[in-house]
Amino acid sequence: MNLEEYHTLFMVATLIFALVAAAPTLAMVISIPRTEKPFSELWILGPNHMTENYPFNTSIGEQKLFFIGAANHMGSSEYYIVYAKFRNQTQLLPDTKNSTPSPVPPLYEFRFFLADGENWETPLYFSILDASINDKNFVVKRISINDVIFEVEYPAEKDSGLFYQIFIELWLYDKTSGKSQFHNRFAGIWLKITG
Amino acid sequence: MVCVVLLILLFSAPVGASLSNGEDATVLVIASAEENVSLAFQAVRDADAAKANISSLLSRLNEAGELLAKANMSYRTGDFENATFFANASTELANSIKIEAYRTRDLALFQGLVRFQSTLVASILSIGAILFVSFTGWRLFKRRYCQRILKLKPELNSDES
Repeated sequence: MNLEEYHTLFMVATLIFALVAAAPTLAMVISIPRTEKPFSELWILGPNHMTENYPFNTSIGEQKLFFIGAANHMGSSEYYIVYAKFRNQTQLLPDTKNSTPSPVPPLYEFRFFLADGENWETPLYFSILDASINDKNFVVKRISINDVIFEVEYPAEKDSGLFYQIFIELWLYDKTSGKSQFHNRFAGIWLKITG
Repeated sequence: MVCVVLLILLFSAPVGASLSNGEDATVLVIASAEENVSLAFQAVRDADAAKANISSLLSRLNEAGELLAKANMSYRTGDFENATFFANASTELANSIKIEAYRTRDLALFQGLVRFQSTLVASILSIGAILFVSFTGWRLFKRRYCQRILKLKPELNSDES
């Protein structure tokens, strides 16, 4: 190696060491943009915390247990609301194409705050407490969710089977508008009333 | 008969109005609680952005959110008294969280600034030391290299042919 090549080697080594010395400061100034698309998860699990053995057949007064949960992958702390709703076969579900929630009014609600990467899970005890029955119609009158009793009016035709759905919608607080908005996530469980 | 109906109407009207007033008041109290919980959340997010540890603030926010949810559900079931109670409790908690979040944010910003300044000074000193060592080392190396070259004696190769 001649003197010129030694000079280049010294310069490169100096530059590398200088960059290593500057790295902690550069790390505080330069922020790496997030490449992952932000999203949230929402789920309903059966009584064994599994995606199996979901309750289906139920009767008046019988209590059913689900576990509902959500996870935050939005890249920052978020304010979530989960609305538990109940509907018959004719009432509308949320429209995820147009990001509109179900028009069915909410009954129970959960409000929670999650840091990025955190998840949340809670039990949901559900039972139909009272219903009226006549020749053609069956009307659910009172339901209980986590021991809160709601007076409702959900009819179903006896001929088409007594199918009802309990479903949950995920809402997210929007920082810009200062309001919570439907986050385009929902999950539900069908129940058949047998007696 | 007409008198009886009039009397019933006379006594029932204020009751209906007070019920409605109670409901309206509850709506206002719940709306105020929602606003305060949202503001507390924004303050906690600011603290998070300032790299503060927000785990205890989030835990308290969850309590405020739970109270607000209870207020909304009590309202839906027609229990305006409990709805007002829970909404007020939520507002009170949210306000204390907001104050705590601002304090945590300010502390984190100050600590961040101190940390940045000390890191910057350490980096500048390190780079200065590296440049000094490198420059001095290069000069020494260059001198020794030149001395070594100068000490070399020219060799004459005789042509034996």
